[in-house]
Amino acid sequence: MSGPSWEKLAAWQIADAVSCGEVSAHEVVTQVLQTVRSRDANINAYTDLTERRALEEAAAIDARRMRGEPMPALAGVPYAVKNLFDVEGLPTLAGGHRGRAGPAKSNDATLVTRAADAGACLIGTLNMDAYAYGFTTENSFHGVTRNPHDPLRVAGGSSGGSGAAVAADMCAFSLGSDTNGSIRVPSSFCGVFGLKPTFGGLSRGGSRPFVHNIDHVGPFARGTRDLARVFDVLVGLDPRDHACSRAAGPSVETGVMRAAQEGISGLRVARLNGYFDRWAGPDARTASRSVAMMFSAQEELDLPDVAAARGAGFVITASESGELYRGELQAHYEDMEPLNRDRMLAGSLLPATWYVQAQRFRQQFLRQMLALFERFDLLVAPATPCVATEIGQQWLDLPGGRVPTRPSIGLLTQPISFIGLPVVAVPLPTANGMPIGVQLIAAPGREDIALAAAAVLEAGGHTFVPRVSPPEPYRGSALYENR
Amino acid sequence: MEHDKNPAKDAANPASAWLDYASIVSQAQGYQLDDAQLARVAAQLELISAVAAPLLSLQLPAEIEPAPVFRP
Repeated sequence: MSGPSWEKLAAWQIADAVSCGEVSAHEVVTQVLQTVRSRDANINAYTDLTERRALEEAAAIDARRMRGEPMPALAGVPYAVKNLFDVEGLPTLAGGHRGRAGPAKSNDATLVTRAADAGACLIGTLNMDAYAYGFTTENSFHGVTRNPHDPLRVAGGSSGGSGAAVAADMCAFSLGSDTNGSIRVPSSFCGVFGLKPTFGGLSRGGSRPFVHNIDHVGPFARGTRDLARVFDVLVGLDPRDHACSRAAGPSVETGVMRAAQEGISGLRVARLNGYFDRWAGPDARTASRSVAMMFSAQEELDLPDVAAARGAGFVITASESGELYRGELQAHYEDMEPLNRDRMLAGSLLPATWYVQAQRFRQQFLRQMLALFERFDLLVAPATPCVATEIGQQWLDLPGGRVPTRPSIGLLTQPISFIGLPVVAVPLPTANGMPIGVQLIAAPGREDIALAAAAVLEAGGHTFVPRVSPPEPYRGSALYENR
Repeated sequence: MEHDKNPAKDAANPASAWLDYASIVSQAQGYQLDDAQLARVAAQLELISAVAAPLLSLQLPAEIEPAPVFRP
């Protein structure tokens, strides 16, 4: 008789089971590694496995339990990180050419250290759009990461491996980064939950930067309680990150559990329409409307200047990444990702007045949004214009017009991260079986509100339930020969 | 007006204007781009310009400033 499928359980369930001796961390990690071996050939979420480290971390947790020591919050929980986080013993790829990644790192990123201190076991590092500049994880060096629900579609990006690995039960949670939507887009496409904290909410120490002014890092998981637990473990000030401003505080997980059981009373909710409906297809609009209805949203808001906010995010991203990678572009252009090196180079040539205008507008738009949070606790908007796009798809046809796919999937996320607001991406089902995400947006520092609202939706059975079963006909087909 | 600084607004052929711009500014930045690279970069400048247009059309009040605030 086969035992339970530990790889399918929530992180908190695994930690509880390991802590009480129902299962060993070794058994959990071994089972997840086996799942990765059997499943990742079809998905291509991982770029490197850290099997020895995972087994050593599992052994250390099992030894602690045998000694009767208190067990940490993520005891024996298998996780993985986007390959822009430093991991001791591995070069930090940031999605780029392996030959240009530099030497293996001698230290972990801060969040990897904190996860390890909390008992989590690192399974490996995950694929991404090169340099985090993209929304599809179609990577010329490491292959495309396929959507676990339909391998002809992308997983989203730039943290595509992070979304796909969680959706395909190849880890219990993962870490990614989000500059313009890179946590929320893969969450939407892969049907998992993602948290983009407030700017400065989690430390970026030891992660490869892309756009200093807008880079965020955060977790993916298959449920809200896991997001909250991981956030509680990872949050805290860090001298390694210039912008990290959030000290550890009261448990967010406690509030999430309460909300899941009792609901939230008096939540003031508004749905964002206007720009957000104009650039959303039917599935995305339906999802955002149904979430607004579930929370009895009091108002629909047509915010002014959202297109300008998206434009400002676009200009800041191109300019800062262009400046950051200017030396690489000058010296090693041929070794850089063909899918985005020309946009990055163009970014390094933009007029300075555009960048300054974008930064000034950022202040104005933030003021406008902060004023909204005096009237509302939560804003609802679609996360992506549509469900996961097909691999290689060139165009998106939306109510607002036809736009190129690769730079446009973040149309609905970019105006929000540009001003650093915390967002939980919640996956909902659609009629065609693919998931789509909705953004639950809160005031700065109020991750607890967005997570509690997500927990209410999840507890009510309204969210997408991943049913990953890699389609056999695709195994070993020509599609995968060049992964 | 800020948007008057957009080279695409100053020429009958925006793509050609961006090509000229890319050629001059890329040299000033120390790049050595061939014609094919310049054409691709010009196309990206045109794309960024189109997305930035709503931003660049705004007249921001002078009191809106981007400076960070250092509180004791």
